[in-house]
Amino acid sequence: MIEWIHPGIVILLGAFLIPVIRNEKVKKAYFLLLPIIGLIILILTSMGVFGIIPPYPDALHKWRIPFLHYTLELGRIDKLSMIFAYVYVIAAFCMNIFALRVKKDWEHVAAMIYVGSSLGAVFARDLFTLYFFLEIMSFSATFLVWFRGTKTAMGAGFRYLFWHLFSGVCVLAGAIIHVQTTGSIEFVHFPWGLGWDYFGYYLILLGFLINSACTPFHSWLSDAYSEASVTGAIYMTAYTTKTGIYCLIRGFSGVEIVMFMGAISAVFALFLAVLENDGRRLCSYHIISQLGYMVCGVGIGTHMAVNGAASHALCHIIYNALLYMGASTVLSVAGTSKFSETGGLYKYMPLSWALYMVGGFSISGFPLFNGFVSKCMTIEAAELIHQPIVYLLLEGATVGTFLHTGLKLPWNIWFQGRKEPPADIKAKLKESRINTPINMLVGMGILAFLCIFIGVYPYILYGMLPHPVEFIPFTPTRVFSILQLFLFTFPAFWLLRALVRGMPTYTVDSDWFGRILGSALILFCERQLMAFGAFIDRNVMRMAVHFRFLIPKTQPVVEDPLDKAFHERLPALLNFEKTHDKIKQFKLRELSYNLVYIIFAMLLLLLYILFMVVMK
Amino acid sequence: MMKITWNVLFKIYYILMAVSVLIGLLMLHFHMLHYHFPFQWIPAFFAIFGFFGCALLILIAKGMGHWLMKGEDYYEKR
Repeated sequence: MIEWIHPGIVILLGAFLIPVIRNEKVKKAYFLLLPIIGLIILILTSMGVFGIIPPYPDALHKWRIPFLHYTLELGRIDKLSMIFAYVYVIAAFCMNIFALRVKKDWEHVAAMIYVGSSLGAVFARDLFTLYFFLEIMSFSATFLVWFRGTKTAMGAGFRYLFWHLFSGVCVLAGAIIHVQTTGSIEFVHFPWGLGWDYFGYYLILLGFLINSACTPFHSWLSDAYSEASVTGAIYMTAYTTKTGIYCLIRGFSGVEIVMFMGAISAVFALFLAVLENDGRRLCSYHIISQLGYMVCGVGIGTHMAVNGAASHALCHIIYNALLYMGASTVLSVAGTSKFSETGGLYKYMPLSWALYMVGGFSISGFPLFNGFVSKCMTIEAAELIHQPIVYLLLEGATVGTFLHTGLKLPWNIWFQGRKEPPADIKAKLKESRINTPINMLVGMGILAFLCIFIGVYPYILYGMLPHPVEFIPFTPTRVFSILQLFLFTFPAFWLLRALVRGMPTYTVDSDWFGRILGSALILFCERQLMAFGAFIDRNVMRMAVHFRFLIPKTQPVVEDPLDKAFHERLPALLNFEKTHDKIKQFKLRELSYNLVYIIFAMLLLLLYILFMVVMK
Repeated sequence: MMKITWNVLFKIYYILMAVSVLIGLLMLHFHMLHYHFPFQWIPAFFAIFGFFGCALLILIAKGMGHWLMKGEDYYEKR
């Protein structure tokens, strides 16, 4: 039997060859070849070249690495991991075409490492391997943000990294607790319940929920994706969050609280999207909203719902990359994707608009587009378990999705009631109907074809899902209901279109707590807390003076000129004068502070004594 | 032949909306629809839900905007 080849490792290591290749054409060809190699390996795996799925352990022999007392297993091949892997490499191919003209080699490297490590995470059988690949993903994606090169991108990259390091640490801590209690590092479906026994699983769930941008942990997504480099953002739309969904399906399907969090997330993001002025940020809120559907499906946990979540993740990667590409073409051609600065672009970029609209109809769930065949499964699953609130939230999110991606964004960018774009944008455009680079249109075209193909013939998708599918998407009830829903959404939009016109504003999200309260905390530490510390230091020194008599007077003093010079300069180095002024302000309350200090010290002493007694 | 203008398109759209409500009522009458919740059986439920859902979404969000919408340099200023 032939040994299995890990497609993720191939792409990850292959990425480092990109900067080495000198010839421009060869480099581009190699860049496109990487995901194709991944796809070929996956097709061979499906064909049974490496053994029947799930393959016999022999084929995965080399991918079991001894580590401490455990074995790291890099290969888990079943239907769930295969379906994610397939869509990852296909999407990577289209994205590579889209990014073909980018001149920065290292941006390509970061993107390919990102794709490779997400394949690694999907195929990971144990928690440590999963953690390892999740971390590589976080770092490589951070570089994709930083490659934009602006100051705001630097900040957004750091915030992205902090969120993901936090989620990674949560997963690691949970994994360690899991290993301590069960003795196994395998990534399985975790038990769920209330109480301290499940604390480790709560941590892992928190880590996965942050990765899948579930409300209220969603703010990193709109923040980082909208600041990332033009093509880097396209990669980011697909991998981090969908790997989060994959992990949730594996570990936490059927957890009720996840269902409600997902349904709320699906709607909440839409409210913020109404206020949004930037095309890419608006699309980011739609990622959050669509992730809400998947998280909700995972929470419902029935076979149909899990199938719905997996298939929606798959379709979402395709249509959302398309949507983001649509907004990004405007950014790269016109230099901005803000609604307040665009409008009237239709005459110059009609093809981008048409391809974008395919994505817009898909995400809204229009019949014959791929969003319809996957979204309906989750909604139907909510109906079947009799959850009217969840059903209404999800159906309401459908209305909002159509409003934004199908109506608001295209109207604001390509029309806005203008025949010509604003003068500064018009100066950047050629007098041609095709202003978008051809490679971008080709990338979008392939994705648009996939959107329609899966929408018209969903059975190719259903055949790949983890559970057997007994679901017929095109019933009269469903098709009629959704068409009527959209038919009546448009007049409401048209009446209120003045309200959704872009305004040059910034919408504050839940990251306000981190950014404003966090910086306030740091300011507090820098000013008040430091001043208080200096004040205490000074008083301790003052008290120490009273104990001068303890020092024998006859002790010879050795004068070290260097030491003396240092001590003379020390107050200036530590800037004592400045803090001294602050301390003066406290002068009146000095005595009470002293008392508090002494009482605090005595309390500590008491606690210490008590502790010693108890320990004995 | 009639020239296609925005007015004509809007008129066609109104007719489509009316037709969809009529078809919906007929389908309800002849038991061609299968719903799970009682509220879905309200005549033209999805039309009402689509129109008012969209309007409410915009209006509530605009209300939230009073607190959430800031200047473009909100974070840089601080």
